Amino acid sequence: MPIIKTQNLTKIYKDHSVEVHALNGVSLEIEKGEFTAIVGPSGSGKTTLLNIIGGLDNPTEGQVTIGDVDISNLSDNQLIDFRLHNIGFVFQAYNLIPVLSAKENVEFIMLMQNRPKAEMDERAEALLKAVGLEDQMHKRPREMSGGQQQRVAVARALASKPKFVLADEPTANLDSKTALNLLDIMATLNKEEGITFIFSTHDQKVIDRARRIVTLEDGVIVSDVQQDV
Amino acid sequence: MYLKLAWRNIWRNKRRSLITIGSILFAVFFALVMRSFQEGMYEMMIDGMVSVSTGHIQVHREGYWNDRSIDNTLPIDDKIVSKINSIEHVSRACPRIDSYAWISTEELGRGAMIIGLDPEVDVINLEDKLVSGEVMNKDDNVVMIGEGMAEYFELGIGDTLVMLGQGYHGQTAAAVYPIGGILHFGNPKFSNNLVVMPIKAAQQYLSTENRVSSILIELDDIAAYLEVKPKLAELSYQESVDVLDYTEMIPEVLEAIQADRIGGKMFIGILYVIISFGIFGTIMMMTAERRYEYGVLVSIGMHRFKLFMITLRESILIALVGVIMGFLVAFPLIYKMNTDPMPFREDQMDAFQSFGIEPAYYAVIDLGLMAEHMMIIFCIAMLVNLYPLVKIMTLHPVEAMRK
Ligand SMILES: Nc1ncnc2c1ncn2[C@@H]1O[C@H](COP(=O)(O)OP(=O)(O)OP(=O)(O)O)[C@@H](O)[C@H]1O
Ligand SMILES: [Mg+2]
Repeated sequence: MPIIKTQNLTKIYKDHSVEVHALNGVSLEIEKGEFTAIVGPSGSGKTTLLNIIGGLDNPTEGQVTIGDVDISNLSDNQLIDFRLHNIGFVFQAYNLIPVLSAKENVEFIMLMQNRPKAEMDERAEALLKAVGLEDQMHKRPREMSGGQQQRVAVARALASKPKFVLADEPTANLDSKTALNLLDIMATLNKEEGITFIFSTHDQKVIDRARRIVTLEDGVIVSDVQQDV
Repeated sequence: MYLKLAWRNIWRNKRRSLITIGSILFAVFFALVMRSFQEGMYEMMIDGMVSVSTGHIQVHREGYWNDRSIDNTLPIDDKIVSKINSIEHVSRACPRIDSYAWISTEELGRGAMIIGLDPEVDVINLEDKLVSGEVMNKDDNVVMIGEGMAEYFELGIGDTLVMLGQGYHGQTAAAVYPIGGILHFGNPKFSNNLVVMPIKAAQQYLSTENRVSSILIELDDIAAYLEVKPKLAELSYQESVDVLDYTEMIPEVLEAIQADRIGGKMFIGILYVIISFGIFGTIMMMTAERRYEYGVLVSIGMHRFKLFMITLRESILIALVGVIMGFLVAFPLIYKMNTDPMPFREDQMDAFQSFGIEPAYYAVIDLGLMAEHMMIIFCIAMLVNLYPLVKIMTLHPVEAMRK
């Protein structure tokens, strides 16, 4: 059974009487353990698709099933809880709480899950080590580079033990070397821990690291290919 | 960690937090000081009236208060005075007789109020007011006059004055008395027109025998007047009596105080409105600045209400700091002006002297009053959080994160 299944997703934005069809019948299945890139030109609907899969936005039509849950049936609070326990998020930038240290940012999501303090502490350190930030744990976001901040965001996304991680252009604000470094860390976590990543990108070098590439154009999937890396 | 987060958020925008703390501090300081001084002034006014002219309670012959003639006096004996004195909360009972007389020397004349009192027990502290001469004894046949009158008649100690008036049941009251002492009164009416003499001498002068105009009663606690009144009425007197408390005797003063108190509260109300807008402004700025962050937090799975509670914790910390600091700044000033009131400058005195008080900057220490204003300001600082509450509850995470 796929962990994510979208059926015929349509999203229409109404902007002052102008209708924008951001998604036009997107059906997609994602299996556990995938490392999938959503690509396509600007305005093709990547962000819209990821937001709807992540339960941050509602489709105009169609449905999203995660595991065996149809998320369109959840109330706002249920959906928030569902996100907390099932989905890891990495945004393009400014993911972190500025007044908390790297470690506290990672612990914070576990605090929201009411995990025991000892586990929070141990897991936060292990994850920051896994993303190569064992020396930066007590730094605040503004004391870290953009790449380091994104790695903290990845560690935070994993801390809640989600079913999968959604990352909308996680490398867009990074230079290409840093971007590839982040991708390598994500790929390693995918290979070694079996963590499912779905990310969108424009960057060809990043696309090259993906094992599956889903291409959108004008809100429609125009190609869906697997590649060896 | 939630509290840690709230605490660090306060320091995130130091200036804004300091502005908020400062406005709360100022509001608390201003409200506490202003209201404490206001209540202090009322207390002084009432005290002034009560201690010189009315006492807390008075016993009269029935109908005396509206027809204060010498014929309307009440015969008493020592027994009734000692019975009154044995009632709980009564600190003293002072029989007095009041009348009017025409005072004259060889060249000049003027009307005067005559008060006959017992110098050993009366609420008027003659010792304190003595400018020259000696305080009269209860059996003396002397009078004491105000400074203003002494100046007008150019009288000194040992000089005599002639008092002419009407005594009991139309008898003529006429006598000559030596001046035993000259008294200082803040109130010019007393200074210019008052003659004080021992009650026995006054009763003789007015031919009233053992009659008195009033028994003026001072309590150890002004609040006990309602408790003491019925006990006074129960005692057996030789004629039927009225028992009046100070609220019945000086209603105009109390009404003026009440009107002024409402004015003061309205002024503070306006201050509160201004402060509310100030705090509201800072909280609006804060909410706008953190919109993106709120979007991230709701996206990754934070319940909206929990998120609001973090913001609220921050506001509670700020409000507590502001309120407590306001209190800490205001209290020493209030305390100082309570224990050691600062006298008015000469030119500020006039308006108050007609109340018979020695005017001073005096503040009451009323913890209830202070708590009330501190609570109100704290509540305002909480109430403005309705704004972030609504914003967070209706926040759309995707829109919040779009720049
Ligand atoms: N809130 C909105 N209101 C109106 N139109 C919107 C809104 N969000 C997105 N759109 C439109 O929907 C379409 C798809 O947008 P989306 O952001 O999903 O594209 P994208 O593939 O993520 O683009 P980019 O690569 O620039 O991030 C675009 O035409 C966009 O202008
Ligand atoms: Mg996008």
